[in-house]
Amino acid sequence: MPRSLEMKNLSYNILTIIAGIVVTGDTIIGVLVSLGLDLQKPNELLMSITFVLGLPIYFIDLRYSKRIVFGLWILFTVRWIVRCFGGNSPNVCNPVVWPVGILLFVAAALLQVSKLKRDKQHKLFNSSAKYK
Amino acid sequence: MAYNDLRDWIKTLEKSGELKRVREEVKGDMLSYDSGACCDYNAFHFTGQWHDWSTDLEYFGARFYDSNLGRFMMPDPDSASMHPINPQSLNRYVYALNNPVTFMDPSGLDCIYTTAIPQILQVTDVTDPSTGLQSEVAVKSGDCFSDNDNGVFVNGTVDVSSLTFNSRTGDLGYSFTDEDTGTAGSGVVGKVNPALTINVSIDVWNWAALQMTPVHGLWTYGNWAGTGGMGAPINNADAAAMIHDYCYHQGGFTAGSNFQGPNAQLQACNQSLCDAERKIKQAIITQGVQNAPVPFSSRGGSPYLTSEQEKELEAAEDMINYFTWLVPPGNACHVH
Repeated sequence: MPRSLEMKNLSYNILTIIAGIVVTGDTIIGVLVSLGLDLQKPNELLMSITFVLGLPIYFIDLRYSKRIVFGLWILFTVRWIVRCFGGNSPNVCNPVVWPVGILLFVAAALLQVSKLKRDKQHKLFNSSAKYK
Repeated sequence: MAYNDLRDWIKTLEKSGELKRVREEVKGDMLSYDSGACCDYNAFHFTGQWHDWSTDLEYFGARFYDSNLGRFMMPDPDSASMHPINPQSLNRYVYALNNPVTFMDPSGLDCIYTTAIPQILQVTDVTDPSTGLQSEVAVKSGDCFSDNDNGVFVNGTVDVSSLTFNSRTGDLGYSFTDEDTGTAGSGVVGKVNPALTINVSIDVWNWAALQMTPVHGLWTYGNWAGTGGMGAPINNADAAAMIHDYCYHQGGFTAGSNFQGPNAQLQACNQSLCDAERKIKQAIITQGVQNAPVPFSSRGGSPYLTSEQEKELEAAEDMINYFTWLVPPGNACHVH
C-alpha cells in the first residue's frame, strides 16, 4: 500500500477514534442526566434511553454501516423529538444544545466524515488498481 | 339414691366436717382457675403479658418473667436503671424493685425507632398538626442494646398515643411510665427532623402534606431530593429540594422540562435551589471548620462532621452540580 494511502487511512482512524471519545462523553453525560429524570413517566424514560444509547449505537454503526451512519443520525433525531416534542410543553427547541445534543451531533458528523472519506479512498484505490 | 338418703348423707358429712373440707377444696380450685394456675385459656397473664406455655414464663418484651418465682430469668439489660441509693435496683432479676403493689412494669423496657425502622415492627405515623407532615415511629417492647440498631432507649413504657411530632424543630415528644419508680414522665427524641434553618413557607408545608408519592429515581436523598417526594424533610438540603419541587409544581414542570428549551420560571426554580444548597453547603463546611483543629474544605471522610452532615453536604453538592452542569443553558444555575 502506498505511503500516502497509509497516512490517509490513519487520518480516517483518528477521526473514528475522536468520534468514539466524543460519543463516550455523550453517553456518560447521558447517564448522569438520567439520574435526575423521573423514569416512571414514559416520556422521561424514553428520553433517558436516548441519552444513554450513544455509545452502543456508535459501535453498531462502526461495525455495520458502509457509508451513512444511520444509527447515530436516527438516535440524534429521535432524541431531539423526544426531548423537545414530548412532555408537558412541546416546542421546537435547539437540537444541538449542550450537553444533550451537541456531543452526539459532533460524534455522528465525525464518524460520517470518516466513513465517507474511507469509502471515497477505497473507490479511488480500486479504480487505480484496475487500470494497473 | 333416694332423696331422704342423700339428705341424711349430707347431714352426716356436715357433722363429720367432711363437707366443709370439700367446699374449701372447690373454692380453692375456683380461685386457682381465676389466677390462671389451672385450666387457663387466656394467653395474657400478669400485668397483661403474653404467657409462654412451653416454658410457663411471662414474656415482657425484653425478658421472661417467672411468676412462680417472682423473678426475671435474665438480668435487666439497662444498667442505667441501677441506683446506689436504692439497693433493690442493684438486683437485676427482681420485678419492679420487689414492690409490685406500688410499681408496675408492663413491658419491661421500651425502644423508640425513628430511623431505619426494622420491617418487623409496626409503624405509627405521628402527624404534626401545624404542617400536616408525618414522621414514622415504631415503639418496641425491649431494650435497644441487643438489636444494635438506631432505636432510642426509654427506661419505661412509652404511651404510643402520647407521641407528638414537630416537623419544624424535629422533636418527637413522648410520655412514658418510668420502669423504676412507676411515675409518669415525658421525653423528647431530637433530630427526627433536625431543626430547619431554611425558611419554608406555610404554602409549601401545606402542599407537601398532600404529596403521597415517595421520592424515587436513580438518584435520591432524604424524602424530597430526587423525583417525587413526601413526608418531612430530613434536613435543610432536603427541605430546599422540597421547596424546589413545589416551585416545579407551581410552574407545571417536571424533571424532563429542563431539557425542553429555556424557560425563565424554570431557571428561577433551579437558581433558588442552587443558591439554597450553596448556603447549606457553606454552613456545613463552616461547622466543620469550627470543629476542626485546622481549616479544611474537602468533602468525604471528615472526622469533624457527622455522617449525616457528610451525606447532606454531598447531596447539596450533587444537586448544585446537576442543575449547573447537566441542565442545558437557559435553565441551568449560574456558576456563581
